[in-house]
Amino acid sequence: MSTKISRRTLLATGVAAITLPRFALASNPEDIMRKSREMRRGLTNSMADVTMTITARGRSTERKMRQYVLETSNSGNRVINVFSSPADVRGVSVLTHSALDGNDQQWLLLPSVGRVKRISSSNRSGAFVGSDFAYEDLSSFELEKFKFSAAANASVGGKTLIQVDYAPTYSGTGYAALRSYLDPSHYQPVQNHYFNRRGEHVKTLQLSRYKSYGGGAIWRPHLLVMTDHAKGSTTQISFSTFTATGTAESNFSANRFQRVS
Amino acid sequence: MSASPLDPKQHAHPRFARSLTRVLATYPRLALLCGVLVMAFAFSGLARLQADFSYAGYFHESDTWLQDFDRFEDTFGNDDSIIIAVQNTEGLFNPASIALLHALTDEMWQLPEVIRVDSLTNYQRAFAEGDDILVEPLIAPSAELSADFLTDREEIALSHETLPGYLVSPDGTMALLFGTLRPSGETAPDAAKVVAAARDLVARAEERGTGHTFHLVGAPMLVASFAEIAEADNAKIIPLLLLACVLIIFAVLRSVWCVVYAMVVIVTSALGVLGLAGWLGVQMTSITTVLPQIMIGVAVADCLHILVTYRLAQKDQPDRKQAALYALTKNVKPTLITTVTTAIGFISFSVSDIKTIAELGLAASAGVVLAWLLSYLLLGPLLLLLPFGGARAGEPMRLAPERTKTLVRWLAAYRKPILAGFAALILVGSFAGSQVKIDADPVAYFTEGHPLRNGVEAIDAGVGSARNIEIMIEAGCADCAKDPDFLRRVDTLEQWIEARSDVVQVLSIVDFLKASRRALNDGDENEYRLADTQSVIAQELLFYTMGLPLGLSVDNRISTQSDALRLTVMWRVSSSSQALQEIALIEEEAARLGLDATVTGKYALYQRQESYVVGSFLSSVGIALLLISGLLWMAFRSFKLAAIALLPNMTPLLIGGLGLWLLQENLNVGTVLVVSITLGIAIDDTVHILSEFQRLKRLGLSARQAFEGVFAETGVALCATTLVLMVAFGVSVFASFAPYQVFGILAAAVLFVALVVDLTFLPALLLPKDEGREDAKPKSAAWAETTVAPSATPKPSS
Repeated sequence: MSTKISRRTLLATGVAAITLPRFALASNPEDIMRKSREMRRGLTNSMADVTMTITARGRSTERKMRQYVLETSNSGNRVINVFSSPADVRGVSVLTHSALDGNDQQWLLLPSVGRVKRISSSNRSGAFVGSDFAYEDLSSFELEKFKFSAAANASVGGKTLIQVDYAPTYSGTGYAALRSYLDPSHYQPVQNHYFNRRGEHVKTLQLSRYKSYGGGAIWRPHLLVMTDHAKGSTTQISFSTFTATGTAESNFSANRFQRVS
Repeated sequence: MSASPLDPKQHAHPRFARSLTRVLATYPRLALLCGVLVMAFAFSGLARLQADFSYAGYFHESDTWLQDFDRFEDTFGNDDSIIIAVQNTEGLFNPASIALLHALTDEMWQLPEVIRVDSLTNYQRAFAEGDDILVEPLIAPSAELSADFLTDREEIALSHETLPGYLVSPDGTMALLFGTLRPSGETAPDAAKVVAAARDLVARAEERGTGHTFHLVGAPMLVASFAEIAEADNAKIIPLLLLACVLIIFAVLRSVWCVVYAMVVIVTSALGVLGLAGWLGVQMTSITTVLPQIMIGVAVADCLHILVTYRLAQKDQPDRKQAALYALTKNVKPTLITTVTTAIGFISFSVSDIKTIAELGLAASAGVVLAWLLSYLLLGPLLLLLPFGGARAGEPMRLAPERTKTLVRWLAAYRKPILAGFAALILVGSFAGSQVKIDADPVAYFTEGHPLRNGVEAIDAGVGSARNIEIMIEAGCADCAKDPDFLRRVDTLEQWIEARSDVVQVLSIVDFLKASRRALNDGDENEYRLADTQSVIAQELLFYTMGLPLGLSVDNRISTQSDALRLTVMWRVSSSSQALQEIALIEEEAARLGLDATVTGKYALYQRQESYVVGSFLSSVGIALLLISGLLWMAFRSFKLAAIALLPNMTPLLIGGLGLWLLQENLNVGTVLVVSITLGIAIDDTVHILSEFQRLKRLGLSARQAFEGVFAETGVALCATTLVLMVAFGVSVFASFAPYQVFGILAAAVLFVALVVDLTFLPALLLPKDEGREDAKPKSAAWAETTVAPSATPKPSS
């Protein structure tokens, strides 16, 4: 029965028309997530201003950065984050090469120290600049990094969403399981639940302010709110509109990313 | 009830006493119903009873130290850790031990409520390797544990700036694993749950880790152990106490039914007080768990006075009902006065800065009133309604008239030595009391051999310390904690603290900043220092934090806003007096450096609570004495008697001080209760003696005859109740909560001495000089008529 409903939902969105062969397998979680991934890709080389607000027990602090993203066809995304605030880390820049196996590579430019350093990134679970986001939460979504277990329709707050359960297969993760709730209209997650190895629901990510680019083919959230239930803290990331005026593809490399500001 | 010619004493009872018993006699069933309702009300509070064995149970919400701590917890999270110590006397840097540490680290993450695990193996070290700079665990789980590698790691660990004295012992034979609990938030972490899982973990580790010794310590262990020993102590002590009550009461009354009546009141009072605690919102702590014990003692006293009078009166009054009415009437005034004085003694605790002591006083004073109500509304109707407990029972314990005469003559003859003896007691007691130190060690609250105490002692001897205090240093503005001048002053403070003799290690962000700088400068040892500008410091910090895995971030060392730092001081200081001194010195040094430092942490809270002890003690004893004297003045309507009544009640203070001094024990949250609790109870003896003395005098008896009368009835009841109370508190020597062992011995000693003083000092003071030598003639035939008949039963008690 749930299959029927999801089929009907799919039909209603009309997007299934492009991928008819896969339509029959729409309740397959991996297919759903593949579709989800496809529907957010396409801004090959983009740039956005990012404001991150970390709030813990009523007090908050803000970090600002400019983010450049280069999508690649056969490997993970390449991202450059350049900090503009707080003032003492202005100009600090981080280059990340996401890898399909989850073993990302990172380089850090510290202008005051005057050096570019490669960072050991075996710790995928670490918090990104003191926020409630781990690096792995921000790393590009690649099907190869997960094992998908189930998909079903779920009613959340009166809306019917597609619930997908999956688990990371890469080393160094902090999670035992993940659960995404996708909006059937654009297949993008509106809520992610993160479970630790004790099986506890430790974090929740709410994704909202979805906007479409490329004539409705590419969907991107512009507000992410991550809540850490154990610590009781939240981190909000808001993106400006993504622009195609990124930086040259060649700048996404370890010896050139310091030119980007 | 009409005045019976067989009960000529009745006219000497106060009118309210006669009215009360008249109502009891007329409507015994209604009275019983009221008694049952009171009981039901008290019991219904049991469902509301809550326990809090954590630090919070000791502090009022408005306490500034508690508020300081809450601010600290808001900024840096919980400072509670469950700590596992692993020891291998052969050294830990071998594949088996390291594998064990890896497994333990991993399993500790799985413990409930744990959000962070710090261990020797997962310590995040910043270092340079060739062109790369790395932030990596000291020994990663994936590392190949070759002999060379392990020797290298041992060298790094033991010469590290932070690790020895924190996560590893200086000789590399013991390692500590810290599992930090989540912050309190809406509900505090469940210590019992953490401890149960941790014990399970250690039990499993003991199975596979042959050659290793394990210890489990830390704040959750302290909290859980307090709860466990409180429960175990009550399970051990209460049945013992009830059994002793049955035996003593039977020995005195020689009537099975009277024992049953008494036990009904005693057991319902002991349970009822917990119900009242529930209604009053009083939480169970290591301190308040003593409530049932107190209540058993108080209820026994009320019942025994009534029942001893009843049994003795049966000799001359064959009608059960009349004997019961006489006993009930005679005791209304003294039991009411003692109830109020005892209640005042307890309610005076409520000014205490130590929350649990204030709450103990509140619940105990309500319980004292409950015990009196139940004595009159349960025991009274039972005596009047049930046809049991008659004269056919055995001969009750009594004092032969010639013995009372001898005793009184003897007391009159030795007036001066008795008074001199009391004066000597005052001198010795005051001197000893002034020598008593105020000190405590929460760990030493557990008796020797308790696993927690063993663990702490083993860690003190190995790694150095499992006790930590926390210092929050506020920079004043966002990002100012990265200011080099501020950090240099923090560094100076840290080094100053580390130089203190009992300090093993101080942890702070400064250590990480220096290590990061060294790593960024290709491992140059000269660069193990703070940078000169804020932007360099901020970027070094960012570099370090970018390499940290989940749960090991530095948000427990520097606030999210970068406006405050945290210093954790691992020290060996065990006594609260030394801790308070050291804390004061640290605060002084911080102020000298111009740092806004707040010393806090759970351990500091436990220690600081002891500084409230003296204030609590003085104010509660002072208020109690003041209120009690006022009450006695009103009750006796005689300033002289009220003043005299106060004198013997310095005994609890004197014996308490003397006892602590002789036992070489300190005044702390447990032992301070001795004086406060016994004060309210010891004064009962005085009240009973003086009230009966005054009544008999008003009948026209001489002072000497009056005392003979007092000894004959009241004296027996007093000896019996004191015996029960001595047992009631004395059984605490079997407690596992060490302060209660001392409390038990001292309370029993105080009550014994208090009775001896009351029975000797009061007559010595009130008997006229000449009366000792000549026999005054009885002025009242009525007295002679009811004087107890000669009996073969000797007086074995006291």
